Order: sequence, then C-alpha cells, then structure tokens
Amino acid sequence: MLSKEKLRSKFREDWEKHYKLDFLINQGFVRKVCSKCGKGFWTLQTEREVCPDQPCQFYEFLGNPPTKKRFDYIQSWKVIEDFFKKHGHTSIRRYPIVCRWRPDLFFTIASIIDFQRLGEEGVSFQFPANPLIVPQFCLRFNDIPNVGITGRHYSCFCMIGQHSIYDGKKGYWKDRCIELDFRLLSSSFGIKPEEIIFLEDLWVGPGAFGPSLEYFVKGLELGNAVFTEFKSDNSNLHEMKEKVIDMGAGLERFAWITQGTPTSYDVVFEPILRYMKKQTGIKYDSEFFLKYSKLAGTLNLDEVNNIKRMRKQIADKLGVTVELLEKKIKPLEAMYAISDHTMGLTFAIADGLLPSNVGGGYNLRVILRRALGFIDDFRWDIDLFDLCNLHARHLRLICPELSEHLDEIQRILDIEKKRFHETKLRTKRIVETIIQKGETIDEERLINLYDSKGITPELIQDYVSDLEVPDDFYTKVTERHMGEKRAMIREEIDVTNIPPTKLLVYEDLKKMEFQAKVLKMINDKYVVLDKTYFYPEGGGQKSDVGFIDDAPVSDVQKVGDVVLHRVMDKLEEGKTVNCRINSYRRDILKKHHTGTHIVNVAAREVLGNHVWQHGAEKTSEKARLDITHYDNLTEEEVEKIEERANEIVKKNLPVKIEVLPRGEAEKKYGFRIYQGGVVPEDVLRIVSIGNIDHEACGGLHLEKTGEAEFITILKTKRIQDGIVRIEFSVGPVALKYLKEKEALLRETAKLLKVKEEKVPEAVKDLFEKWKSKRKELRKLRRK
Amino acid sequence: MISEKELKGLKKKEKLLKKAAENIRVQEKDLPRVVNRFLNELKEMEKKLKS
Repeated sequence: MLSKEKLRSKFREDWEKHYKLDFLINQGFVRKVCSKCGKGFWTLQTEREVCPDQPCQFYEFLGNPPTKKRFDYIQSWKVIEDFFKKHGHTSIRRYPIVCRWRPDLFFTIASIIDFQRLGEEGVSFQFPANPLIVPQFCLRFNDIPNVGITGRHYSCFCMIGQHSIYDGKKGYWKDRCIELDFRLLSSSFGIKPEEIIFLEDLWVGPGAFGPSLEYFVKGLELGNAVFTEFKSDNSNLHEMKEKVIDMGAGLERFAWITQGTPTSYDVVFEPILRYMKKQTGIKYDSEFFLKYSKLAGTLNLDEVNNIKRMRKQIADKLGVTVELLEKKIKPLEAMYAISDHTMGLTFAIADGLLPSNVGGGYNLRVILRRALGFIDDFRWDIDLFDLCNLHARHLRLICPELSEHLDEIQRILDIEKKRFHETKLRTKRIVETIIQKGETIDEERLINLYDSKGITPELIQDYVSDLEVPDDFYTKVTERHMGEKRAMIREEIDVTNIPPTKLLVYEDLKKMEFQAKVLKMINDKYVVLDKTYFYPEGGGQKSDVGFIDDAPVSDVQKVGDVVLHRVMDKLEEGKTVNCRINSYRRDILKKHHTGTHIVNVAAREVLGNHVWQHGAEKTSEKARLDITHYDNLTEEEVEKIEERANEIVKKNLPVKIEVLPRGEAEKKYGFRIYQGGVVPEDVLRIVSIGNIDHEACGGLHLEKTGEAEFITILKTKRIQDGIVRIEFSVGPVALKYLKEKEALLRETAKLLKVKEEKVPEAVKDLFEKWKSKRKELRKLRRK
Repeated sequence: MISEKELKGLKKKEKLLKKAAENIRVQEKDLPRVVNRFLNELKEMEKKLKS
C-alpha cells in the first residue's frame, strides 16, 4: 500500500494524465506550481505564483464578496439545484444523517456515503439516478473544538453532492464535471472566471481512490471534485469499470462567499443568531469582529494546538489585550457553536437517534451538553428547543420533514436538560471529594469523568478555576466512541474445501421431513449435509432443532455458504440420512419473529418516531425486542403498545416477502428497512406487514398477523442509556404464561380466603398485620 | 384459539397478581409461598402474644 503522500507525488509526476483537462486548456487555464507549498494548481491568472489554499493565501472575500448578488443559505441551494437540474441532474432528497446502511459509521459524513454500500465484495456504489445532486446534511465530530471559533468549521453542515457514475457511455467524467462547476460559479453566481482556481489533490476512501480538483475563490475552498477511478490496492492503479464523480461542496461556503460576512455562521444561522442576540441583548462591534475574523480564519486548533497562544497573537495584531478580545468574541463564539450544535441535534433526533452514553448517541450528548454548558456559563435565557424549532423553520424548503419531529425533539431535549442539571448537582460533590483526597484532575481523569459520569470540563471549572482543559478535549472523547460500531463476530469454524449446502428452507417453509446426504462431519459435532430445510440461526431468530436419523440436532449455524448442524452423535460421511424438524418450535419461532416486527411498529406508533429496533432475540420461550427510547416505559405506555400490537394481530394483515435489489428496496421503503442493522448483501429480503412495516429480514414469518393469535408483554426494562427492552410472548406461549399467572393468583386467593379481585388488597393488609405483630412481639421481648 | 373474553379475564388476573406482588415487593412466582409464610408466622406471633 502506498501512503497518501507517495500517491500524491505519483499523481503529481503524472499530472498530465490525472489533472490536465481539455476544458481547462480551452478556457485558457494554465498549470502552476505553488512557490510556497509546491502543490499544482490551475488558474487564469498567468502571473500568479502561490496556490489558493491557506496558509499560502488568506481569505480575500471578507467584506469584499466576489459576487454582485447576495444569496442566503436557502437561496444558495436553490441556485445550485436549478443549475444542475437544468443540466440534466436529478435533484434527490437528503439521506438520513444517522447512517444505518453502513456497518462502520454512525453518521453520514459526506454526500457520497449515501450511495456507498459495504458488502462482502468491498465497496459498491448505488445511485438512485445518474447524474444527481443532493443537499446532504452531515455530522462530523472531529472538528468540535473549532466549531464557533474559526468561522468555517461545523459539526453539522450541508454537503452539496454532485455525483455521476461513468462507464464510457452513461454519466460523465472529469471534463464535464469541472465544466459544470466552473459554469455554476461563473454564470449562476456571477464570479469572475479569473477568481476561480483549481488545486490538484487526491482522495483515498474505503476500497477506492482517485485524483481530485478542489476549487477555490478568493482563498476559500468551495468544493472538491474527486474522480474515483482506481480500486483497492493503491500500490497499483487498477481502473474501475464504473468510475465515480464525487464532487462535494459546502453549501455554507457558497452562501458565505456571496455575503462576505465575518464568519460563515452569520449567513447560515442568520435567523437563529438574530433570535439569540435579541434574547441575550448581546451587541457586537462589527468592525472589530470583521478584523478579528480575517485573522481567525487562519485558526485551526488541530494545527495551532494552543488557542490561548493564538489568541494572544491575534490580540497583539489588533492592538488589544487578550482579556478584551475574549470579552468581545467569546459570547459570539458560544452563540455560533450553540447554533451549530442545535442544528445537529435537530437532524439527528428527527432521524431517530437519541443522546445517550454509547455509540453515536454519545457524540450527540457531547454537543448537547456543550451547548447547555455555554448557555449556563453566560446565564442566557435561551431554550435549546426554541433554537431547534427555528432551524426546522429556516430549513423547511430543503428539509420539510424536520418540522414533523418537533414534538419528539422537545420531549427528548427536556429529559436531557433535566439529566444535565442533575449531573451539575452531582459535580460539586464529586469534585470536592477529589480535591479533599488531594488528587489531581489531569486529562485522563477529565475524560474519565465525562465518560463515566457525564461531567463536562466546563462544570468542573466552576470549582477548579485553574483547570487545564485540552483544546481538543471533545475531539478526544468523541473519537473514543467512534469505533464502537462493529459487526458481530461469529465463532470461526473452518469450512474451506467443503461444498456449499443447498439451503432450501425459504423454498418450502412447510417441509419438515427430508432426506439428505452427510457430506462432512466436523470436530465430531457438526454435520454438513448436501441440502437442508433446517433454518440456521440468523436475524436474532434461534435455529430449528430436530433430528438427523436418531441424532438430536440442537443448533444450526451458517458459516459462509455451509450450514452446520450440531448433533450429539457422530454420523457416517456419505450416508443418506432422514431429517426431521421440530415443527412446533418452528411455528413458535415464526410467531415470535412476526410478533417482534408487530411490537416494533406498535412501540413506534405509541412512543414516537425515534423508536428503532436496537436488537432482538426470538426463542421458543419468549421474544425480546430492544428499542431506542429515552426513558423507562410507564404502565400506560406498555398497555398501549400491547393493545396496538393486538389490534395489528386482529386485523389479520398479510405478511409479504419480497426479494429486491438493495437500491430498489431503499427507494421503495426508505431506510426504516434497516431495523435489524445493516445487511451486507446486495439483494435484500423485505418482510412487509400490510403497509405499516417493511424490514430487511432473513427470518421465518407467519403468512398473516392473525396466526400470532395474541401478544402479551411480559416485562419491560431500561437496559442501558437510551435502550429499553420489551419481553413478550405470542399465542400458545403467551397463553401458557397467563395460565401460570392465573394459577398463582388463584393459589394466593385460596390461601388468603378472599376473592381473586381482593388479592392485592388482602396481601397488603396481611403484610401490614405481619409487620405490626412483629413490632409488638419485639417490644414485648425488650421489656 | 382463546376467546377475547377469556383473554381479557386472564389479562385482568395477570394485573391483579402483578399488583399484589408489587405490594410486598416479591416476585410473582414467589407470592403464594411468601403469603403462606406470612400467614404461618402471623399465627405463631399471635399465639406467642397471647401466651
């Protein structure tokens, strides 16, 4: 594998092949090499010697925008959308910001992620249209310390994705892409051609890479056109059959450059900032801030490491003290960060993610608590939900769906605020104990306090004024949790050289007896047959059990294409055997599996759209469904879920199975199909219950919901932050459970000699009487 | 198949049992055993108090 740096030099050496485009030559662009950093770039300015990127060039558009017209955030998108639509692109709606279709990501971090699928064969691209344009809202947590400070960093932003797949016939390639980007800037936005500069670079992604041209105007990078044309091993350039145009541009930057405001936040969050300024009464010295912003634009905490030192340098340049500088800018920086974080929260909660202490929810809670911390620090009368509401209103032309989720957002934020304030109360006690013990609060302790108790450094600073907080604290804590999303790892059994098993269970669900040939016995406990109708464990559904000849089958697993039947006795290889599946257990598992889909829909309908399946298990004794929800379920909620689930059962809705290509399935049913997590196959089996639920699922199901008979919720429990477990049983298993309860009640009533309705009261009375007599006896003994 | 009426009755009994168990903070399956113990202990305590 070549390093990115080596690959960069390789591309640079061969620049004519990778970067020289007929379109640029025809327009009169010339290639230059930056006299400062050595990067290649393309410009119409024949005298120019430096590249357009920082630190070789500073922003030149602040207070001096290169366009005659001013566009706000929404208008900028409309201009871009109109332009690309006019040039044959399909404008598609954004994909969810919570990335449920990739096993390695919690969030959508770029527009191309929408169309990338990781399967057994590596990365593949699935485009719903070609070419297309998408306003993709993204969440990234690696820039948190920069958000609000540099004027250009965001945790939540909109990446305009211009994408095309090119195989020599359909779609387009480099020349057309750059021509379109150039014309968008020059014609639609009215930027002078000589202001547009293309910088040579490259991009390396999972399983694919290629050269790229970043386009700049007056020192601001507006977009990056990546030409994904090579695959896998980058030590050799293996061209892909279907190449991909992956142009991502920041909508924030397009709007910003047309306005030339001190920061991009002033444009992007205009209504939100207006509201906050009104609420807080904060006024700012715009002239001073413009001067500051020109210098702050060069800030990047990843590079400067120490914000205090950088502030000192800026203060010196502006001729003010650091204290005065901070007094003027800190409230604004806080407002910018709050605006960004509330936008991220609005999208993520609307797309079904809850703040918590695990996985992606952890990162969400980081920005939520950071925003609440700012509000507390400045003692502002600002409610986060009001800001989310403003974001939803502001973005309604691009994302009308946000407004539909405001109720959930409010409910979730209220609970989180309460939890934050409880943490604040606990902080004092915890910090005092640490101080009393004479212990220090170093970086590791800070991270640990946040991780285990949710205590932010800002809260600790209230008690330890000289606390040293690393500038990249939030980056460090969020990075700790980005690796949590991992695929389930199975016990590895070597099946090399074993022919695949013909898995026939889906072809005939009613076949319970069959004959097969024993191909192989592994470790004296696993039988491989030439074919099988046994259902191997998968999708949270336990496997079938039964017999192979007289040997009981206790478990069935699929490893690759081979199905392993776990047996108690050794079977002779090559022998033809009689196989019997336990049909009662199969029937119960089917009932529990369909029941799980039904309870999931019912829970979503009762509790809200934030409910997603987090995990599930279907055994013959009961089923359990883990859902995302922010609190314990109340008795009333449990009753409502059960009631709704039984309504679905009674309606006797058809349970339909469809096998669809992944792209088609996503288009038809949306991303709700990924309830059980990501399915790595390119072809999905979709299980639909009437038209109320559609899930990608490989499990066995009933044909109609009525076959479930009825559903009883056994118990519910909050098993971790943001996750609630619902245990239930269906049909005969539920009936057995209820009969057992009935017997217990009857027995208790008999003991107490009361009617069953009076048992709770009688038990209570008995207990009180018992306590009182015990007390009396103790008193007597003491005398 | 169970009738709706029968199911309703069973659900009601399930609830009564749950409530009764909650009243003395024991698991539902342990309720008769615990109630029986209380009754026996109560009888014994009353006997002792009388004597």
